[in-house]
Amino acid sequence: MSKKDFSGKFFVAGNAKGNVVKSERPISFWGGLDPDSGRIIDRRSDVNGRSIAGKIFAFPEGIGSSTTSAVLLQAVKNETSPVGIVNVTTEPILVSGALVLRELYGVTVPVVSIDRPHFDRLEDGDELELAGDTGKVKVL
Amino acid sequence: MQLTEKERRMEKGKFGEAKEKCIKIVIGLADAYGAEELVPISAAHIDANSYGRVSGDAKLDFARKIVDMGGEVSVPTTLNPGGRDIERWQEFKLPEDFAQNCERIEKAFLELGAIPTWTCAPYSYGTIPCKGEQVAYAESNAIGFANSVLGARTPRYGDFFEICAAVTGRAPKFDLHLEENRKADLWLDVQDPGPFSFADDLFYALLGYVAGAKSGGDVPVITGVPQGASRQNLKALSAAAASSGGVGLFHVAGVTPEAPSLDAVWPDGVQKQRIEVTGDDLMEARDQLAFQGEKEVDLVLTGCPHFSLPEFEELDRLLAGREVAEAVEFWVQTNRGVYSWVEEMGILERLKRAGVRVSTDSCIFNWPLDNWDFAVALTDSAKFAHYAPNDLELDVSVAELSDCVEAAVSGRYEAGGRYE
Repeated sequence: MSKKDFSGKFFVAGNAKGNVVKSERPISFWGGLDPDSGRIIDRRSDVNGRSIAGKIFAFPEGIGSSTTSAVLLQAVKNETSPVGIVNVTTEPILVSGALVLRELYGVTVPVVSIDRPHFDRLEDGDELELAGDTGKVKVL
Repeated sequence: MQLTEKERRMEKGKFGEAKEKCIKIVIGLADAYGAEELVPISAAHIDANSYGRVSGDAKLDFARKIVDMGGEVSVPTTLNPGGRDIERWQEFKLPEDFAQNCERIEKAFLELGAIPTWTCAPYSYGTIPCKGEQVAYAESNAIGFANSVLGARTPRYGDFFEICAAVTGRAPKFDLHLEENRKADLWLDVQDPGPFSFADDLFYALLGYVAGAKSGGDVPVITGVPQGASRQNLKALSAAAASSGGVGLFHVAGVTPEAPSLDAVWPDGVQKQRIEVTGDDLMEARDQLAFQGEKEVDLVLTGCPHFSLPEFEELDRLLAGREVAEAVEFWVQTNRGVYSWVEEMGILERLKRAGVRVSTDSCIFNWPLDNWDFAVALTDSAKFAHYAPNDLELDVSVAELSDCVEAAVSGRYEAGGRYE
């Protein structure tokens, strides 16, 4: 039974389910995500040291390097990538990385942005379902 | 979405598999952001050729895929630093197997038809876009510079997408490609830079770092910076703002081409809110990018982004014939264009004699440094000081180039030093 659900803007459609790792800070995957371990390695991050492998990674917005999409692909190749990404503001850098995964590697990592109040209510550890076909985000 | 006949044929695979895959990705991004059509681009800058420690395999894999599908670029396309200094990788003690992988990716991008610039500062020589020119750039510092200092138009594209744009010659008509998205979202005003000076390069790096943190992905307009800021200054600002934030375009009123004044870039009908950048803000940024106390320095790193000719001249003047201390490595990163000039000008010979190592084609962030024993580094680059603690596990301080030189000569640097 779903506790609550709401609409999101799916930049890359797809379905995913997983537990949320939630960060309140912007992050760059390059220098911020170790694709070998799937762990966050940015000392400025509030989730530094946590693994986002197999999780839904929620962070407000992307910053920094344009190498972010390569790090995402490397994580997918190493099977350490998140299964879905939730933002408040979604950057083209991240979306294009996920589009490349879909078109050339047959892997879907849905990327969705939700509005700030919904993001603020999201809690670390929540089980989340991203349903690209209906455009819904469900907290299970 | 409105596609031209040619674009539709591309999507149907009439121009080969590479163009088909690439245009599908371009259209996918256009769809995601609600763009109504695509825009032809006249140049591209690729970041995805930087074979590095972290995501090198992914980059090599993608490049091979496109080349093997018969892909080639359809607009002049410059390349970012690769994984190695092609001539001198052994001098920098890069492992042989790493160098071989670098060679593979270099080959793939040359097969793609790109120009072997191997630089993160494609704006220092080569194909330099004009004001208003539509381009597709990756490499965050180059994006900021192309948009802000040159007035060219590119969103912050990421790895692989820029290749898709280069192969198809198209990008989604959205984001910073459009005039209306190039107005300022916030106003930063610097009246008093505190312990820093408008004449210092470090001031611009720190201002960029503050601007990035305050702007996130928005477009800032900065006032208070006197006319006469140089390309070096603005390069430092751009690189820093794209490190602490996601700044793809900034305006400096009276300095950058789209902002003759604050009003010129302020959106109509929006109330102005002045955000003051104080000396304390700059000092705080500096503290975030510095270690504490006095340390022995192992590495002085400059040329992040790649060193320009005026920067070489300044370094030569500051060294004034002195030698780098025995225990210190002093590395300067640049591109082949600038390298050839300083070589002919005799600057390179003097720097070499002083113990400075100059590399081309490459970037320390891509290098495995296992064969070096570095713990403490000093740099004039806010970008390097931002990424190196995580990425290279170095204890780093940012400093004026003149302080970097003094530390290289003495072997020591006191972080508090001149600001106390």
